[in-house]
Amino acid sequence: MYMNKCISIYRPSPPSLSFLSRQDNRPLHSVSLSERNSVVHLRETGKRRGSFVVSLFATMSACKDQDPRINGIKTKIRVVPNFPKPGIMFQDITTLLLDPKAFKDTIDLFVERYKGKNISVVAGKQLMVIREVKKLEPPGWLNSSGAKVWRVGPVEVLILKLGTITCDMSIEARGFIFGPPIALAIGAKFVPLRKPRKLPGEVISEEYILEYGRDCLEMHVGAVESGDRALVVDDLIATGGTLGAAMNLLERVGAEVVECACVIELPELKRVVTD
Amino acid sequence: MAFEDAQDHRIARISSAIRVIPDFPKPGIMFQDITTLLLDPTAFKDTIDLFVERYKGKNISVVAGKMLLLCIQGIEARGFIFGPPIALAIGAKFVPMRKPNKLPGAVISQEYSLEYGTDKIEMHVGAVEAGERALVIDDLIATGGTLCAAINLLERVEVDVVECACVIELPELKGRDRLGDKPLFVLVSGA
Repeated sequence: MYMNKCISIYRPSPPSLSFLSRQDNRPLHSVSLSERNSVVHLRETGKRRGSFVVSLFATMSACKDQDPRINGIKTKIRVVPNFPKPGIMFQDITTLLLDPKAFKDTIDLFVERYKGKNISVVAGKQLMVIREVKKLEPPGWLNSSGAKVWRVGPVEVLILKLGTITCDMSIEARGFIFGPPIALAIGAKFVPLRKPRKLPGEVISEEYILEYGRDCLEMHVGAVESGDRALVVDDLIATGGTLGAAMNLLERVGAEVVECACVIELPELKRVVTD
Repeated sequence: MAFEDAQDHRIARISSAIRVIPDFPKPGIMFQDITTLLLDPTAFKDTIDLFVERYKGKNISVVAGKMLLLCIQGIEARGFIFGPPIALAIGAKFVPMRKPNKLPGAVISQEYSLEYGTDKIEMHVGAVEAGERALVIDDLIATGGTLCAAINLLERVEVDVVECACVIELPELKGRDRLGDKPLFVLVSGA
C-alpha cells in the first residue's frame, strides 16, 4: 500500500523535496509525477503521519523520461501574465480543456494512480488563492505573518504573501473540472468543497488563516462518512493553505485523506512552513 | 420532453438522488441540489451515460458549460460538473462560459436580461471555431435566460448549437419556450 510510513516515489537526482505544512503543523510532502527517474524514500516526520501531495508536474521541473503524456499536457496550459493582477503569472487550464486528448490524458494519469485503491471520496475545491511572490536573500529564517521560510537544496528561497479572492471578485479554482471525471472513473463519490454560503444544505466549516484575516471552506454534512478514503483534487497547488483546510475538514468527519492530487505545482512557492 | 423509455430505472434513481432544499438561497425558492447526486457514483455515472449515449457519434466537437448565476436559484450553476465528463466521453473539447472577469484571456461577451437589470456571459476568444457543432450543458434550466445567452454567444462566432442538455427542468418557468426551436433534452423534471 503506497501510503505506508516509508514510500518510494521516482524522482530525478538530486532529490528536491518540497515541504508544505498545514496550520496544525502536520507535514505535507510533495512529489511531482513528472520527476520519475530516481528513487527517493520519504520518511515520516513528526509524531503524526504526514499527508502526501502528488502533482502531475511542477512548472519548473525538467522533464526527461517522464510519462510521455505529461509533456503534451504541459504544453496545453497557457500562462497569462498579470492576471488577475500585475505580477501574477496565471496558469490557465482552460486551454487544456480545448484539447480532448490532453484533457483525457490528464484524467487518465490520475485514474491510473488511484483506481483500485479503494478510494471512496474525491473532494474538489472551488477556491482560489492568489500569491504575491518576492525573492529573498539567503540564508536564514524569515517571518512574515507567522510564516518561516528555509532553503531546500540549491533552490531559491521565496516568501509568500497570501490573499484570497472573495466571492465578489470571483476567481475560482477549478477542482470541479478535474474532480468529477476522476471520481466517475474510479467509482468514487464527488464532494464539492466551497466558500461559505454556496452549498445549500447543512454544512460544516473549516476556517483557515490568510495574511490579512481568515476565510472558510465548507462541506455538506453527511457527504463524507467516517472511514471514507478520500482524495483531494485541485488544478493547482501553490502554498497548500486551502489544501490543508480541505484535509482538516475531511479528517474531522473521520475520513482518511489518502492523497492530494493536483495538475500543476508551483514548486517555487512551496518552501513555507507555518508555525 | 423529458427522457422516457426503458431507461426508467436510471432516471428514477437520478431523480431520487437530487435533494430539494426549501427556502434556499432565499424564502420561496425550492432549491434543486445536485450535490447529493454526486454522492451516488452509480447515479452520477448514469447521468453522464444518458447524455453520452445521446450525443456520441453525432460529430459534436464542443461541449460548452456555464457557470453563471441562475436568477431563480440564485447560486452559480454547475455546468462545470457535468460538462467535462460528457466532453471526455464523446471526445469533444470543453469550453467554460463564465461571468465577467473570471476568464483570464481575451474574451467575447454576451449581455442578457434579468428581472432587474442585465448581466453578461463570456467565453475565451479562439476557444471555438466557425463550423463547429456544440452542445450547451447545464445542471438545470429555469427561465432559459442564461442558456439563450450562451446560445447567442456561440452562434455569433458561427458555431452550430445542436442542442441544449440539462439534468433538471423547472417546467413551470417555461425555459423550453424561451429556447424556441432550439432542441432541449432533459433527464428529470423538477416540478
